[in-house]
Amino acid sequence: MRDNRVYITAQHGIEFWFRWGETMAHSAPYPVSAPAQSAVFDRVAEIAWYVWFSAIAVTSTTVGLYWDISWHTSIGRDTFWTPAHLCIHFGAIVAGLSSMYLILSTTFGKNRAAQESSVKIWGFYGPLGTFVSLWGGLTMLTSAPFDDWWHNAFGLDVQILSPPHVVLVLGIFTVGLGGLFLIIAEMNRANEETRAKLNRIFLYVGCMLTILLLMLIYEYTEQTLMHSAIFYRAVALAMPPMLVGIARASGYRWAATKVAGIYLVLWLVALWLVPLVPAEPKLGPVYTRVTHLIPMRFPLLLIAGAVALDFLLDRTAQRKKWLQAAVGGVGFVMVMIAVQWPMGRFLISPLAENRVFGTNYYPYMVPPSDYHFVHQFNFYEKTRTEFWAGMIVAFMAAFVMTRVGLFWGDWMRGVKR
Amino acid sequence: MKRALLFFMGCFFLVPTCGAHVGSPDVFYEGMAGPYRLFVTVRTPPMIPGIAQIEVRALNGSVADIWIAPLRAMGEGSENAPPPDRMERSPADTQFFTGKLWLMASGSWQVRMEVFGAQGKAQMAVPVPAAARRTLTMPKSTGTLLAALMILLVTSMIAIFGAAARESQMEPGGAPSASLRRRGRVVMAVTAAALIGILFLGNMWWDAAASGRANLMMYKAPPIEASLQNGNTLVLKMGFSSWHDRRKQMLLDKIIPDHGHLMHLFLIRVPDLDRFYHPTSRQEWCGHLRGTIALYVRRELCALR
Repeated sequence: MRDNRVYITAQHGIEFWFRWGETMAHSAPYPVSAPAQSAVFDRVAEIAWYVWFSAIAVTSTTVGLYWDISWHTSIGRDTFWTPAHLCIHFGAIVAGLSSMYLILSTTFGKNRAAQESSVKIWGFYGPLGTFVSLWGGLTMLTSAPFDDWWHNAFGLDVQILSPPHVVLVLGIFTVGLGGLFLIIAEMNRANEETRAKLNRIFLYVGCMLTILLLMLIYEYTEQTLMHSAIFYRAVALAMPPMLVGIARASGYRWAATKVAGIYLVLWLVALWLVPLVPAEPKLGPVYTRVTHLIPMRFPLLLIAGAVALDFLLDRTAQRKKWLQAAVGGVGFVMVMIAVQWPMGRFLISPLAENRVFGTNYYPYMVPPSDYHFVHQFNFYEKTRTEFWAGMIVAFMAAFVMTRVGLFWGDWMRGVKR
Repeated sequence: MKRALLFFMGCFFLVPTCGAHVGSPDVFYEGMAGPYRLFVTVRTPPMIPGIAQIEVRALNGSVADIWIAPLRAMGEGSENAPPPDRMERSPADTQFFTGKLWLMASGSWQVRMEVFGAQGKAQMAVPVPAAARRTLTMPKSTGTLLAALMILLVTSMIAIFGAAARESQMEPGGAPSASLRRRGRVVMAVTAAALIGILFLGNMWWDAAASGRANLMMYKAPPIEASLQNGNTLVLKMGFSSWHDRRKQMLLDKIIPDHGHLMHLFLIRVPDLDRFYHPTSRQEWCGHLRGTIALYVRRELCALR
């Protein structure tokens, strides 16, 4: 679907469609200022290759991380060359190389229009998202010697929240964020039809980032903590900015609900399919005999909180942003309490010990004498005062983070380069 | 004379380069695996979890193959073994084997060996106590590399934020206005301040996580309380140790004789440090005493006085 004509719309006056060289395709109209008009423009009504590459990269790293966590709980033995690690680093390579190619071809290519549609950093030109992705790739690279030294100094850990792991996850997350910025810049220049197509990819990439954040707070979102304030604090800190930011930038109705819905479906599919893959522990001591990959726990009912956010933010759309944030954030936590509190009780019960809810899977390093810990609440806060103080923090965090999400989402809606 | 002088001078300069240590965490075990006499060396890692290096020399018979697997010495983890690893046979010495095993936690382990050879298949278990002994400081080269990467990441992050504020929302074409450039500079300054704060907090977290991990993992010998009873009985009581207490299920608390003796006691007179005794003739083991371990040493002390 390419032609070389000038595209005219009633709303924006004369607008041009163009593409960057042979490989960089843009699919949206926007007003072109004087310098850009001297360039040669094509109309390209298709999704650019690097949008797909962004989606592939973030999918690969997210799947790799899930696989890695599952690997650690069922097989255990760890080297750089495990398939899970390769999957993570494949995503980084895809994002890094495609970003580098875009930056170099824009900087040293002859397409002036491409340069004029870029941001400039240290003399290099490229879409903002490519620089962000490249930064993420470099951060992932930095985590490797750091993690290696950490393992030598403090042992080969399986802890998610260690300093080098956080650097790695920050890198992975930023690679995904770069993809998000690339797509939103395309969306903000697209016509309605292409924008709708890009929106699907945008929500999908947003869902991958949401999953990454959920993995980061995984240790605080066990079913045993669903009657503790720490659970709601962790969810309130991590989820509203992501869900609200993506929904706001998307501009489509029920966007947060769709993101949470994709997460729910993918997580359930993983919970039900991952145990079909044969595996056995290769590290001792083996406390529990394992014959298949152990999946991660039953998903959070985030979709309920996302529905609340979508509904409340829509109803208060004409109000001040702080008021929107207060209503949305408080509503989000209240709905999460309403669904996760009883869900926690159900998940620790014998009724959930089956393939559907998956609370009967135990990592190889859990001794049978510890199984009961999964089926009883761990009250993280030791006193009632501590608990209520924690819950107040959860509400406050949701309020502030919803405001952060609104700010971030509004900013993304304006990104065009 | 000249040669002797050169020899002594050589020794003098060599001394600083020589190393030695007293007491070794390595395990040396000689035992029978069925008909095969094996000498096993297990070099435990300095930090747990870590990788133990294992060497086996077959002292008699003709051993063709050895497979090794780590198990707990006692309790729940002593029943299910992971799939064993094959030891590598030395091409130069066919009765010498090397391998490695992951020890994932401190405590009492056994290395279970399956031995195959001309006289059939046999098994043997080597007891291995494992404990984290030290952490490592960061090598200068790694530190320099990470510092350089950190500077690059911080400065590039500031530049990205600046570009995002300055240009990312502009329509294509045209240069950013003076107000946008000012906005970019303000955002860069704020980002720099925020990143310095994040790095400061991150450093605090790193220190806390590292020391917390070291405290949790590093072996700490329980305190020993010594008292003299009835003039001729030295009572030694092993005090509370959080390290041992956290690993009750993983530790063998039986005392194993070391070349026939349950305990090696060294007595040194202080502050003069002019007397040194190593009484080993007889000790009486009394087992647990209200959660502590007590050792009674009687006759040796009589002999000392």
